[in-house]
Amino acid sequence: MARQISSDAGVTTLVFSADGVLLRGLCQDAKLRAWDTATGALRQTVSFDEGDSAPALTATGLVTVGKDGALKSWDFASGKVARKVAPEGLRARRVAASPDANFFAANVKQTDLASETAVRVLDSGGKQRFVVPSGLGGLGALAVSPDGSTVVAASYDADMRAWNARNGELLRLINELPVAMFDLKFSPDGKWLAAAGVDRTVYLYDTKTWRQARKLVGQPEMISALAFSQDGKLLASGGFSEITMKKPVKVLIWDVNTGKPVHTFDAPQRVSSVAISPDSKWAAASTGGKSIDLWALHG
Amino acid sequence: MNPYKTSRRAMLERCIGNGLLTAGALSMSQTQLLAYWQHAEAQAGKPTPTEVLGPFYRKGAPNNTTLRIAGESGFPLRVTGKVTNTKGNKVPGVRVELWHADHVGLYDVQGYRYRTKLEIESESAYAVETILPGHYDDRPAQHIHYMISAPGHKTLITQAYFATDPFFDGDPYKNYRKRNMVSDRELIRPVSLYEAPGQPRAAIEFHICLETL
Repeated sequence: MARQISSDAGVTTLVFSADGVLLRGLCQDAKLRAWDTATGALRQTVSFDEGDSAPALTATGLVTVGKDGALKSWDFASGKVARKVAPEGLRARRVAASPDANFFAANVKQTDLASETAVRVLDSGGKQRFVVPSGLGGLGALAVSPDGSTVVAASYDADMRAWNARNGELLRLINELPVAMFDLKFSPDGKWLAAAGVDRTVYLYDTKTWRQARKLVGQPEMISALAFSQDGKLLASGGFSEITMKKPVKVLIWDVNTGKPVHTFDAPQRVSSVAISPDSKWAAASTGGKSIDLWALHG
Repeated sequence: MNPYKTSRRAMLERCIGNGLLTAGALSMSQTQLLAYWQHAEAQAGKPTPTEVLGPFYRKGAPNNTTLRIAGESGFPLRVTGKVTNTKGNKVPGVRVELWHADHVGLYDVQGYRYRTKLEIESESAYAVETILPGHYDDRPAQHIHYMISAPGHKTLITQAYFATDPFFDGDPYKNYRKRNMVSDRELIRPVSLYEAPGQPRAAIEFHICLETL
C-alpha cells in the first residue's frame, strides 16, 4: 500500500519522531512541519528565524545557522531556539549535532586553501574543541554517531574521515572508495556506518575497526539518501539519476543482514531523504516536492 | 621583468603561452603587441581561478591522453595547456586529472570514460584528445573538470568552459554569471576549429598556474 502526505512547501529532509506518531519534514519555505503519520494531518509548524540556513534535522532536534553565523539548536516541543552558540570565525556551510545537542560539528571553508574545507567541533557553549582538515571540494555528508563519540565526513574528493569527537584524533581516513558519498548514516546502535553516493553502492563500515564489512549492490542509479530502521535490520536508500535530478528513481529497502533488497518503490525524482518508521511498518521518501511518499513494509 | 629587455620573440611566446594570441596572429602592430603583452604580464603570476569540484570526481583514472574512441559520437576536441606556477616556473611531477560528461551530458559513474590522470614529469605541458562534453540539465554549460596537484604546490580544483557554448547566448564574457555558472570568466576558453585529415576538430588551450605552498 502506498499513500502520500501533502505539504504547503517542498520537503527536503524527513525524520520520524521516536514514538513514530509524527513525521517531521524540513521544508523549502524555511519551516519545519510535523504531520500525523497515520492521518497525514499537519500537527505543528516551526518557522526558522529569517535568514537561517543549512538546517540539519535529527530524530531529536533541529539545528540551523543564523544570518550572523550563530548555530541554533531548536526544541521540537516548544518550537523555539533552546540553545544558541556564536562561534568566532568562518561560517558553517553544513552542520550536524550530537543527539543530545551537546556539541556541533560544522563544515567550514579554509580561506587560505581555496578548495580545502575543514570540520570544526564546538561544544554547546560555543567553545571550539578542534578544527581538522576534511578534504578538497566540500562535503557530501557529515554525521555524528548516536553516542556522540565520533564525527564522520564524506568529502567530494572521495575520501571519508572519522574523528574522535572529543579531541579530533583521526580514527580512520577511508580512502579506498572511488567516488563521492552523498549520505552517511549510523545504525541506531552505532555499530554500522552506511555510506552511499555516486557509484550506486551502499558501503557498510564496522565502526569498531572502520573496515568495510559489506556492500549492497542493486540500486539502479546514484544514491542520494539513506536511513536505518530503529532496530537496525532494514536500510532504505533513495536514488538520484545521473541524467537529471528530475528523472524518476527507485527507493530500495534492504535487509542489512543478507545485503539483499526486500522492497523496491518508485519516486518521481531525486530522493532528498528517506525514513523508516520506528515500528518498521512504513518507509517514507521526500524529493523536494510538495508530497511525501509513504509505503507499507510487509513482513 | 623589465619589458625593454624582452625580445619580440619572448614577448610573443609569453602572449601565446597565456592564450592571448594564436600563432597565426603575428602581423599585428608593435603597439597592439605591447598592450597584449602588458595584459599577459598582469595575468602571468595569477593563479588559475578555482571552481567547484562537483560530485562526479572518480579516483584512480588511468593515465591516458586519448579519451576519444574512433567512431564514437561526439565532436572531437583537443585540449592542450602548460602548467606553471605563480613564479612563472615549470612545475615538475604534476598530476592533471580531468573528467567530463559524454556528448549527451552523462558522466560515467561506474567506470573511467572521459576521465584521465595525466602524469607529467618534466615538460609541464599536456595534450588530451577527447570530445566536446554535452549539456546536462542540472548544470547546462559544457565544462571539463580539473584537479591538478604537484609537490610543493596547492592542489587546484577548477573547470574549463567553452566560449562557443550556446549557454552563454553569444556573449560569454557578459553572461558568464548566468545561473551562477562560472566563477571567473578567465575559465571560458576560446574554441578554435582546425582541419584534421577527414574530420574537423575543435581545440582549446587551458593553461594552469599553480600557487606554491
